[in-house]
Amino acid sequence: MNCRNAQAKLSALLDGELPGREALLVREHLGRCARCGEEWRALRGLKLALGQLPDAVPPEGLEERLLAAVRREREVTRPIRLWLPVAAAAAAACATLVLLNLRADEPAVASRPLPPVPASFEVDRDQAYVAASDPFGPGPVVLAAGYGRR
Amino acid sequence: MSFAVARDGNVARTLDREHFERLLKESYRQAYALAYRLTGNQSDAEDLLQDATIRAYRFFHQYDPELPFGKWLAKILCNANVDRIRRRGRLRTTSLDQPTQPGGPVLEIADWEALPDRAMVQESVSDPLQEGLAAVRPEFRTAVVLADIEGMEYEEIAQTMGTSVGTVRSRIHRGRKQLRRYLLEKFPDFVARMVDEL
Ligand SMILES: [Zn+2]
Repeated sequence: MNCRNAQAKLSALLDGELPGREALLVREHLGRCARCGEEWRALRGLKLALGQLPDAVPPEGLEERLLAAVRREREVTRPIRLWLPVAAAAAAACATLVLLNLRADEPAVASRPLPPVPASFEVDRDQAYVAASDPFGPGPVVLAAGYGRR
Repeated sequence: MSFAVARDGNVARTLDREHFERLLKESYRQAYALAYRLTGNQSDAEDLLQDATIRAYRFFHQYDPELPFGKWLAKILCNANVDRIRRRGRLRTTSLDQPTQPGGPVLEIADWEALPDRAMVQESVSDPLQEGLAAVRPEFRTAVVLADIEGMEYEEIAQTMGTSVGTVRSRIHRGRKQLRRYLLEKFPDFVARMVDEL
């Protein structure tokens, strides 16, 4: 193993994320190369120092401010959510039609009973709401303008 | 919709909100510590955590109770942070994760000189490590913070950052190299002490 290969793997070795055989090869190299050995000790020192950083202490009143934000959020979303059953019902109707079409093309399963229409609109409504946004996606969640007026 | 369904829905939502608030109370301190390391200052950390909290609340029905709530919140927080940086226009969209060229580290030097979170650097004067983190590319910084401060394994970091283990490995490696280079230049004594302590 040459220096470039070894150095590229130092971080993974440090984190215990290098497969055994590779780890052995890197360690072998470290044993006989002063330059890489120095790099290794430096990275280890860095990781250690980062691990020892004290946790930042939350500012006064943060918990209350976060809880207040949650409650505000609840107030903001409620009026919009009231309209969602309409959209959800429409979506469910479409889904049923699609389902019927699929089944018609597929005689083998056509005799099976259709799945029951969901008993609770709550579920559909939440799903419709989810479809409008993604917690891991970009930006704050915004429903389309006029969504509630449709 | 029957009244029974509506009423049950309301009860469920109230219970959900109480459940969410309880989990939040247990987790927000650690989430704040992570937000602080990612942003480097108190006010951005609080903004970021508030953003993540609201996202988490909106999508609480997607939360899998098998997983620790803190990990879920951390994931949302990391994503919210990437969005925050993107909004500020500091995140360049060049190929960040290409392997370093054999020719040398020129690209990485250019990276941290072009990119540092200026406000973050200025506000973290007291701590070389925090200042150094601010100088590291955001995706690299996030990976390093999750590995070395949060103590996550690569697989977990990959899930949190929505990327592959290979990418995590590369980001951590390059992040540490950027951090070390910055510290060597700005705080050589600090770096010397860091190594000597071993
Ligand atoms: Zn070597």
